[in-house]
Amino acid sequence: MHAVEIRDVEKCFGAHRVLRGVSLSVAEGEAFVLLGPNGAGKTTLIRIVATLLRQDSGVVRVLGYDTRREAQEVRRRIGVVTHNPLLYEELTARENLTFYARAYGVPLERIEELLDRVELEERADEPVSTFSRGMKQRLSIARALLHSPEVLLLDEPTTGLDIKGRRDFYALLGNLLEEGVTLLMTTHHTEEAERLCSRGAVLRSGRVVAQGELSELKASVESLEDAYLQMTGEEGEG
Amino acid sequence: MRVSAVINLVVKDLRAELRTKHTVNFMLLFSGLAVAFFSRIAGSYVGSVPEIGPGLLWLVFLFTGMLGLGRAFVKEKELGTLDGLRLTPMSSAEILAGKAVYNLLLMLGVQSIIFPLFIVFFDFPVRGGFALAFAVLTLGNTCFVIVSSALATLVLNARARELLLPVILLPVLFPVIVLSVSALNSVLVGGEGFLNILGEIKIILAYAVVMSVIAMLTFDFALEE
Repeated sequence: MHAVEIRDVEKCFGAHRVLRGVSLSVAEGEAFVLLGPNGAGKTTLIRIVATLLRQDSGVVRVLGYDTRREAQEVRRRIGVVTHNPLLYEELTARENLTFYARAYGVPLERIEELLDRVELEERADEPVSTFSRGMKQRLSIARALLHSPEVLLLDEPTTGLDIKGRRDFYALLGNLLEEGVTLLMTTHHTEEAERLCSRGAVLRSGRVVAQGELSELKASVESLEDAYLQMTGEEGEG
Repeated sequence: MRVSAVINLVVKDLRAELRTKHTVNFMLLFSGLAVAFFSRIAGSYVGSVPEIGPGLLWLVFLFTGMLGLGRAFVKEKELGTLDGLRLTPMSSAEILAGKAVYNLLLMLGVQSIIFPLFIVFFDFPVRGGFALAFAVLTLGNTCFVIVSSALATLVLNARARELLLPVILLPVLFPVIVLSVSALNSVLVGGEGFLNILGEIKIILAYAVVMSVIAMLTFDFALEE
């Protein structure tokens, strides 16, 4: 069974077709990256997989559950991290996690475990508004992991992070991968995608223009970045 | 519907609000000022206060509510935390009920301060029971909160949502306002008891139930982008 299975997905916003027959699949325990320029449809696709948006046609299944008909089952099994940490700034880190833990029906002991894991236990009782961007993203990971999801969806999670923040973040993701969590992520940073992911797909104007092993995608060129630029038609621009 | 999930959401919203007091401060300031201005204006027309008083009081609640009640959803939308809420296994009914209860607590807080203030500022000759009048106001405000919470979700994805909400709220709320003012008039001015305003209370209750059902049925659709 695939962790994520996407078949012939179409999505329009008004007259604008954002996704055009997108099909791809992510195996369980795999790290899969969606690459593509701004406006390619990566975020829309992630939001559909996360049950936050409904596709116009096509099927999306997460661990066998249909995202349209079995959204609640899907939500119990996924964690979502976006560039927006989805946290309440007025509340402390612990209060944020307490709220989400209760919403998921998770024992509160799990909060301490996660605060320790993301190295925020010392700042746990300070308002999130006082946190740096990197700390907010680490707390966001803790929020997303509260209910021990089997699939983690990451939509450009390192946007705005400095080099150290980015490195810590990817180290955390690496650990999750070792624990068997499936990762489906979007990023602009091809070198980071290479470090973490084994397979990926390149989206361009709502279509999958290439997918497979990252090593295959860059076989004929110097680097994944060159392959990405070739496939998205951005080579030579800007 | 899990009551614990609703309480969790209400506690989270109250905790965040009490820490900043952004919404409640503005609601109290606005309603206090409105009562003071209306009492000064009404004072120029001696003899008319008992007749227009309940209507003016409802106007204060209406504008105060419009100012603050939409914020519960709009703030979540603007901060992006609405996605976080939707990603939890909380049902639409639980999210909507949590927001409505939080809004109701805000309105009851305002009502508890503004209603006595209104009696004092207007030097209002209360002929009926104060407790019954308070209960009538509470019922009206409950219905107001249900309708405004439901409509706030419908306009969430609109660009000018904070301008759009009052425009669609007024016509939908019209029957509730008319009935609440009538019941409040009967109690405060006419000195009538519970049985005499039972007709109005039944209709307001029925309206609240119907609007709750409609809100829950449309909530998922309203949140779709």
